[in-house]
Amino acid sequence: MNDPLGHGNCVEWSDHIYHRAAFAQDQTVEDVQRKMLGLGIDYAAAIDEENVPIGLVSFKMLSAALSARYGQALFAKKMLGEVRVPSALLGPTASNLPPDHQTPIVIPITQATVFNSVLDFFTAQASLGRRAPDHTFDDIIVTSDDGTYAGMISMRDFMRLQMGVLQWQQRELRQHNEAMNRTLSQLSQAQAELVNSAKMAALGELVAGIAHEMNTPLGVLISSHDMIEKIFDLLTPTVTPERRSQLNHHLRTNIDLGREASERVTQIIRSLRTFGRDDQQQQHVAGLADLIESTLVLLANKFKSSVAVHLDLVEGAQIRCYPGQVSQVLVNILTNAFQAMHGEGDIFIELQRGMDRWELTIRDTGPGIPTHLIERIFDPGFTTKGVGIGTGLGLSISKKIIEQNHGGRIIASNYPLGGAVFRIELPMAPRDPAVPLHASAAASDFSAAAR
Amino acid sequence: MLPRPLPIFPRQRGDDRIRMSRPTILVVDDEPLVTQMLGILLDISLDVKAVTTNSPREARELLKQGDITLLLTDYLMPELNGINLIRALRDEGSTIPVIILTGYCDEPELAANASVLGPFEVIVKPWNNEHLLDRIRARLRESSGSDS
Repeated sequence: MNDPLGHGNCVEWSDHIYHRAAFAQDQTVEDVQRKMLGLGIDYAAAIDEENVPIGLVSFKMLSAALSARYGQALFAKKMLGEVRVPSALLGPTASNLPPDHQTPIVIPITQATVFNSVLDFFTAQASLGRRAPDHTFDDIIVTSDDGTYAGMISMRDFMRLQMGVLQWQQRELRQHNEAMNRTLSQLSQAQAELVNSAKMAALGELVAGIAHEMNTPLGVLISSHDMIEKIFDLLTPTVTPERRSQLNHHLRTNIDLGREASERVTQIIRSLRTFGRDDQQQQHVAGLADLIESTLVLLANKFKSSVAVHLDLVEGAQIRCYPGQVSQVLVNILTNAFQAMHGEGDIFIELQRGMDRWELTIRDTGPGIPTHLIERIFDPGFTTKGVGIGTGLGLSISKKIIEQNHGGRIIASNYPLGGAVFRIELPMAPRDPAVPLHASAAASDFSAAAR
Repeated sequence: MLPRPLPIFPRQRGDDRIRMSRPTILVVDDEPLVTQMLGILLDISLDVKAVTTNSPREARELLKQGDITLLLTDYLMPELNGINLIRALRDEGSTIPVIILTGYCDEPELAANASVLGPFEVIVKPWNNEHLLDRIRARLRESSGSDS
């Protein structure tokens, strides 16, 4: 066997391959490898497609041959997986192969494992054992995932490349994370907008009724002002004592009516403010009973002609909540009940103290929920109301509000004697006197519906 | 101002809320604020007897007694809405004028039932006292004219 180191021609790398004749035909790659080790570390075995060793090549020579034509920049700024060497680069095949055989000669397969996903570089390097531990590699053979030769790279470039790849991966990861965070924030924003637009849609439906509900006390206010003037005009010196007393009584009644009307308007506005508030930023401690009564004020006009609301509430049911959102859930459920009953029937609202939660049950006397639909009733987009009537979002948003935003629970079922039952559980607010109370004004005589 | 003076009788207290000699206006609204207010308005502005109720069912009973000259009613009420109240009134053969005083008015429903509902007009809440009184006077005038 000639000394491969003495070979100086780097252009035709076939020159650096020692023919298979150098090996016995029955030799294995391992045999060749062992032989290589015996010869020294600068040799690599070349093998053919069948994994049969066909010769030896000096690493240095091979590297030089490859670098001479394309340079090591060939591999720069590329992911390892993308590094490919054109087959032309691999040069001619062993002489005993047909001249038109285009299959490239493959560099020792044992090294193909160096960069596979199982072995890391250093393990592979150590296991290869071709050099003494204190001896560093100059050149590295790069293979692709399927084990085919993909090129060469110097250790320094490889490390730099590895570092570049790591940095690139980190950058990608960071960008990916940023994109995820952006998406998450957009999603959260979209959800908030969805909740808000559903609230506005609900409000839109209530507006006519609320306007009507305000009309009455406003009309009374305007009228009472007129009448007070009129009564003063009538209180002339000539008026009989009996009439005077009657007019005085009217005057007093008018003043009382005006006061009550003003309070009524104030109450409606307070309810609207509670419902409409954009309270995504901060939770408040609120009285659940007050929220229920406040919500009923908004629905009073809708309900008053034919729906009787029966309240069984307990005092002191404080919850930490977004009051507008809870009110929105109540409007959704109560409006559903109204529609299910075709605007006529009874609604029973019961508030009870549980172990660590307040339990609110809203029951109607409608047809109930078809059993096969109970599972789907909170699904987004699910509606039985028909096109243009329901968005199918009311209950899914209600569930999100109660469960995600308030850590509570909402369950739909049917009452054994008929009608739908919605049970809402909300955690009790911790007893904290420092927390400002919201909407804690006494709710007396709230609505026609509640009376 | 009324076209012809209506006879004045001494006011009486007691159970006989409906008196024959003065026009009697029945005010029906489920909202006590409104009935109280209208009761006073009618008392100080017109020489009429105002009877008020917050229950359409009670109104129906009062109308059955046949002593009501004019019905001033809300439209949207529990138990019985304004239209049903008027329809019941007409079913019993009464032709007394009706004023519907309402914040909400289902105009198509009113139009569809116009022939059945007989003489009626709609005044939208919040009302103007003078306008309301003018319309009541006009309706009373027409009604007393047709009686004579």
